[in-house]
Amino acid sequence: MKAGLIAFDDFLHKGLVEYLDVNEENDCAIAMYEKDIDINTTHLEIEPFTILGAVAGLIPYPHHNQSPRNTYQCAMGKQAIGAIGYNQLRRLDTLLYLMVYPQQPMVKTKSIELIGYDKVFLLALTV
Amino acid sequence: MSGTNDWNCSPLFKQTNPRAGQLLSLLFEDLFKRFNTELKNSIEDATKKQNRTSQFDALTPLQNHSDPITNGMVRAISTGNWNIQRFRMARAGVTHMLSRLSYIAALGTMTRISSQFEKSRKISGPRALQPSSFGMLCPADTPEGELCGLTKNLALMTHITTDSEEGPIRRCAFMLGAEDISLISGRELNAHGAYGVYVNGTIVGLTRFPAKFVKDFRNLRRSGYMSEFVSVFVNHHHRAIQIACDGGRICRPAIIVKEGKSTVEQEHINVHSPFDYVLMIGFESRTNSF
Repeated sequence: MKAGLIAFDDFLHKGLVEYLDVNEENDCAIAMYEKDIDINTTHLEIEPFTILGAVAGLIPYPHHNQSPRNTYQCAMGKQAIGAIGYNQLRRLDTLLYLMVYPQQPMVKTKSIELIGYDKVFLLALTV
Repeated sequence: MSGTNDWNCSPLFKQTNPRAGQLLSLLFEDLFKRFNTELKNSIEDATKKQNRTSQFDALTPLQNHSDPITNGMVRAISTGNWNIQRFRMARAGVTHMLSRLSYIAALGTMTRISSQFEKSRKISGPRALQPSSFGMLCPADTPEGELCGLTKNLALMTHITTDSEEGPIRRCAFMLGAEDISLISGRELNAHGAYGVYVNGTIVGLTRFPAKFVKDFRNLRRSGYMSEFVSVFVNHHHRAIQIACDGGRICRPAIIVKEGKSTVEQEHINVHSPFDYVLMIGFESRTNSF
């Protein structure tokens, strides 16, 4: 996994990971962490932070915030100006806002790395 | 589904989301059939005249109509109004603007789910966070104001299923010991401990061993004999085993735990070389065979 030799699909094909829908979740006992596994457990959560969406995943330390603040940040995060993609200078959009000096955040979340937000480095100053 | 428990009533429980392909194909079907009838009518009109002055060419009515299919598709997509008389469908707001002003705005728009509930009613039920949407929908990302709680966003690892074939699933169910419903009498159907096997809500068979059936079915799915997005579960209130392979269900992945141990171990994470990979594959194929 670390070396990039196997990926998520391999886990799926080998039967280590499976997809559950809402109905099937009712039949399962899903442990949040490995230490919570007991004899009745059928599944284990892959990563707790994935209950958040792509936008809420950008918030550093969301569990230290009052919950409406996270909701407000979800609306505001979409208004950020920065770089919009690798092809931003070749696009045919009529309106485009770009930041001249984008910066890297001091505190990153794992979600930021997963959705590739750090690749289009655009947070001005998050923390 | 029965409303015996509160969580059973949650919207996610029985909700299937219409997908882009489905809506587009309905729209195309409607436009194409309308195009055909219009063309047929115009040809009939032209050939009905007894003494025509010029030779009839079927191409001319085609050229006179200004691309009804193209224009219909463009109009529906640009306004978001899906008006399909053939299927009695009149929906507004099917398409959304994809804002490209920032990367996050684009990403946020693409994970959005809008609810079919009317927003005028002052009830909070549909707006509330449902326990059943844990891990499927983001608990924080929802707009403020009128649409609060009705417009939702998908969580990170979710996947929306597409239709997969029912036939092989049905054969699988028979292979696992379900008895064909067409050979079953009323006495057997209502016998104690008989569980119906339903594929996408249609009863196909009967079994007396629901737990074993579901376990075997899951084993087949885990070994890759069917799509990983097929779901199977027991409903004891209805004495039913529900198998779902239709599109529009929201899924998320979880690690399988066997005998109190996670199946994903450190050795899977530490695959450093192709040799490790071969070792792991070999190891897995020996232990997984049943």
